[in-house]
Amino acid sequence: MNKKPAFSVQTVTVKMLIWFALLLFLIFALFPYYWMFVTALKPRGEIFQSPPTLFPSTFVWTNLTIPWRQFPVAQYFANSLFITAWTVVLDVLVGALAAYGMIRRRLRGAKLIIFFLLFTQLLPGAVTIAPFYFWMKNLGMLNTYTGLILSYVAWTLPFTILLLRAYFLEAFPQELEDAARIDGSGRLRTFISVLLPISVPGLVAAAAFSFILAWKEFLWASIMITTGARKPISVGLRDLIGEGGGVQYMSEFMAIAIATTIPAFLFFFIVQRYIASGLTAGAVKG
Amino acid sequence: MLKQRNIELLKDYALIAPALLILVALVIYPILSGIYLSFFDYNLLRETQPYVGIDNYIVLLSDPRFLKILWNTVLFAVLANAFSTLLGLASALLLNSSGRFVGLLRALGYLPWITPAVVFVVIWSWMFSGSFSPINAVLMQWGIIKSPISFLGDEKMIFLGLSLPVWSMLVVRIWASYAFKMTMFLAALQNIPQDRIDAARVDGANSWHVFRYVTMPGIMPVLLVVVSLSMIWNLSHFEVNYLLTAGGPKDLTNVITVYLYQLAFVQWKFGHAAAAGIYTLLLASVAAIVYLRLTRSEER
Repeated sequence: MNKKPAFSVQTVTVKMLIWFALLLFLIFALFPYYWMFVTALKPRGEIFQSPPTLFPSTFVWTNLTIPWRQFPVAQYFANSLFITAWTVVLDVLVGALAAYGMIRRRLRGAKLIIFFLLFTQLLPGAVTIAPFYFWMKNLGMLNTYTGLILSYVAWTLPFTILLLRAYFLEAFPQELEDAARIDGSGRLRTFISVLLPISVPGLVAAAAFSFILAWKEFLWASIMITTGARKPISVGLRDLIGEGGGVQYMSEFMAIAIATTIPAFLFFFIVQRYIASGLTAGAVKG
Repeated sequence: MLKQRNIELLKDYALIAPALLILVALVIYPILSGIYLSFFDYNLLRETQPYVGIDNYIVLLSDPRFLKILWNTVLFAVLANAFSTLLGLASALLLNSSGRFVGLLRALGYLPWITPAVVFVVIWSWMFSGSFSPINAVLMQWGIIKSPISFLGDEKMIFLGLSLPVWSMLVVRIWASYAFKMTMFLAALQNIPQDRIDAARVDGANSWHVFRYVTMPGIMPVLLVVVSLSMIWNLSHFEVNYLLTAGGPKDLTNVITVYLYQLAFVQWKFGHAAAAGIYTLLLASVAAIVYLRLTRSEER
């Protein structure tokens, strides 16, 4: 196929340039994670050495577990898991039902609803923090999870609905639904036994996106949840550093940071093949 | 009696209703009440909250500080978007091959996207902290600098018209946003049929020609959408700027969303914050209109 000789000077130079570019990219992309691990695992005295050692003299693995006894880390994780789980379940459930209601050509106002979804999807979240704060205060929802979970669901819903609708439409043409109804199976049964199983990739992608939003969100969580015991991990972690950027608990911070990053990475590693297809189906096609 | 068809239609609306209810209550209502709030001098530190018409909007626009912050917002959005798009495209091209090793690299490339901002911003600020910075350690070892640089504080160091804190902020903004773009571009690259590339090669096209006439047109629709979508997000970006510098030093890295947060939760001026929010909304709407046009024209 390749007509050029394999060892020509030109191809070797190009190959080397590509490897060099890849190396630079990987250093930029991954060095912060290296620094996170190194800072967490350095011995006490070495953390505040200046200039810092690029490679720790010894690895102190117990550094990873100490902060769990020092700070309510387990509690923060449990809170985050609770918020994330509810967000994912509600988002996929409400989103899938709505998408199912929108797949028929005869639906009046479908275009209007789609435009409404695109519109809400594009509204920046940070814009409404002031009125949102009042709204939650008036409803008595500050320091409760209900308001926060519902807000996350509201953020991810437009994307989820548009994504699942695209899957449902592709996987389930009109004629099939008519046939299924004639067979006597009810709408809900059609939905559960026919539509959902063939849309698993779309469901996984939607779940992954709402998972990641709820897991890492900071701004709204920080203005809504101010009671220590109720804080999710993103807000709890912030307390270790504080507004002034204190470095006292840097090692502890990094240890907990590792614990927050690894589960999300493993989760994404497993579902990554669904992500790309989900992104193109939902975000691009709208 | 209702016709069968109308009953089915009602059932469809019933299925959609919960979603619409959530969106109206938690997205539309806060925006409408934000517009309402912006017409009041709403200050939590005072007893009365008088109606002031469009005064909040005028006060903001006639404040040089706000104009500076508005300019920063656009500057960061444009530069972060441009650089992260280039990096996202370059990394996607580099990682667009198969193999186990590349698969792992790709998964590692996703990392910034799934890492909470609180985590990566603290790592970066630790890497940027003068005395404990590994960047300084390397630069000093190589003899390029004599004493540590304060990456987030030294506003007197200027490269290409922008101060060092601005560049540092840009680096983190780019780092935080290239991964999403890389993912999108990789998906688009994999949709380009291999036989088109092979055909071009048989016709004698070199790598540049293949890139220019096969690859680029193939990912152009995704590129346009990613850039306009990212523009909306960038104009209203909050977390990195707030967590890394809270807008400092001297508002050099301050952007409109950080400022409106400070107006609301530091100065308790909710009326002003609401008005700043509406300005952000208008700014982002420009990018949103472009995005909607692009996606709609693609449907046809």
